[in-house]
Amino acid sequence: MKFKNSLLFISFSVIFYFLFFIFYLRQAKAQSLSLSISPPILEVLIKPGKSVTQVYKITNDGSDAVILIPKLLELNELGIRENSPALEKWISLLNTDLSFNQPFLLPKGITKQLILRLNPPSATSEKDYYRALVFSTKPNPPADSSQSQLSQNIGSPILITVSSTGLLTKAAQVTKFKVPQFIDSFDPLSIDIDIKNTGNTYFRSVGNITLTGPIGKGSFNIFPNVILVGQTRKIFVESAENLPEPQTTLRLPGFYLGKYKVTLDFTLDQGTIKLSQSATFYALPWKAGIIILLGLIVILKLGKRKKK
Amino acid sequence: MGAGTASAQDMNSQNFKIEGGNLNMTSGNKASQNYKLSDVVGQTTAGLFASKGYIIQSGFLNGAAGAVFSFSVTPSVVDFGTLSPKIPVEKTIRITISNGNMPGYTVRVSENQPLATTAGAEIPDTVCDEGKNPCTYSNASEWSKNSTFGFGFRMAGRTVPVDFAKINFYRPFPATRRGEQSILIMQSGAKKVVDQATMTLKVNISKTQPVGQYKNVLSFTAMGGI
Repeated sequence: MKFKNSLLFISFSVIFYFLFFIFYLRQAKAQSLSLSISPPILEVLIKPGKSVTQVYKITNDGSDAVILIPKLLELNELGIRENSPALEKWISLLNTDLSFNQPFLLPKGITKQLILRLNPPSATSEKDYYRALVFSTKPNPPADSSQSQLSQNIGSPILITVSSTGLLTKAAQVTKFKVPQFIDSFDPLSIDIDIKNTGNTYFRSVGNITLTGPIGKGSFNIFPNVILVGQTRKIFVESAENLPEPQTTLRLPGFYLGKYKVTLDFTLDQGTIKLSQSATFYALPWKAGIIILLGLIVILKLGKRKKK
Repeated sequence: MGAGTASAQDMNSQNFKIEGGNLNMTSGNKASQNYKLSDVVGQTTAGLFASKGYIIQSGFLNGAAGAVFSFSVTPSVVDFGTLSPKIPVEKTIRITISNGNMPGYTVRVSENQPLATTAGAEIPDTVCDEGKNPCTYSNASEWSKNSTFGFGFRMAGRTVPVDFAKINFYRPFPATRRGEQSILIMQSGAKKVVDQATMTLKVNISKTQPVGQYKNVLSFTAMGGI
């Protein structure tokens, strides 16, 4: 009888935890906001008076329907300008059932296509226009408790260059090239590099950082991140070792000994404008050297005392 | 092959009208024993700019053609329950980013206003523990005393600001009501990453805090490819 009761108790417990787990998972899933956008960025070089269109896909990957508001916002080096003034009328949506700042319902698991049209008039100033297509979720109505409601915004940058010739002045300057002059052999190498866009149109820095040492050399590709007109931006390398500290251009643990040379080579996009800069540093195991020296002094002193 | 020419024509449906657009209809890499071709139908090379009048790319050299940028925030509402004086309440929000083939992303956050009731009572945004360095929305500082009141957050994750590395370091949210811009809470220059971060919200009220339901809206903004 006792055994039967125990079995019953265990069975009920298992069923209870199973139901609780299912309920918990449902609850957790129901609360998520999840959106996807494609393409994640649009780059357009266009002549005044010409027209071009691009299809965007926005998907609700969350487990609830959401009310979305499509917005065209200004983009600068600090990000999206939330309270953008009225922007260009030549950037519009072709969908007949959608327009900017008008909410629409996107059920869960559904993808909505939007068609963006760019049609700069002939008199449009020839320069770069940085905008973003942003979709914002409308928070759910508040419940009867103290709470923070969340609103999710997902944006796709639109980088437009209006030019009648396509001949654009691209220029850059390395404003920071921070390489230590002297490091301990056991310390990681940390390099910080900033690049400023001094031209009239945005570019991506395409190139690598080369480390040349006494017995060999290594090369690390730079991520081709966008640098807007007037923007100064830190560059990063595609290095797994860089992952724990992405605030540094290159962080490379290892053992260094002797003279090393760090060289930065990059082009503006995949063009012919090439920039290069290099610096030299030296590595010695000075921390271990000091410890050994102090140890030797202690041993010598102890030896002298023993002799006395 | 069939992909060598770009086609432009007017298309109509009930929902939209396209006038001779240049659309990414297909894209990808194709290969056989004799050739390897990367193409994006409808895209043009720089040399055609003069005749066509535009070049359109979905990212650097169409590196993002077909790529998807995803952003998740869980949960969608943070319920603080019943707030009691000098008993801090902490709740977490999980943020996930997946950026596909385009390098770089940013995630920013702001609040519309401090936590407030409809009658106008507010829980102030935290300035953290009293000391020489009060926290601001751009600089975290220690908040561990139960006698320090307010509303703030801290971040944990691989790509969050470094000032959150120390334990119990918090910041207040920038408020759009005060005209403050959203602040960066996640950033990476990498591509093909799936990054996660955890935001911990903290509320602590004083004995003099009026009774009521305090509410605000937190806005999370993610952008990829830049």
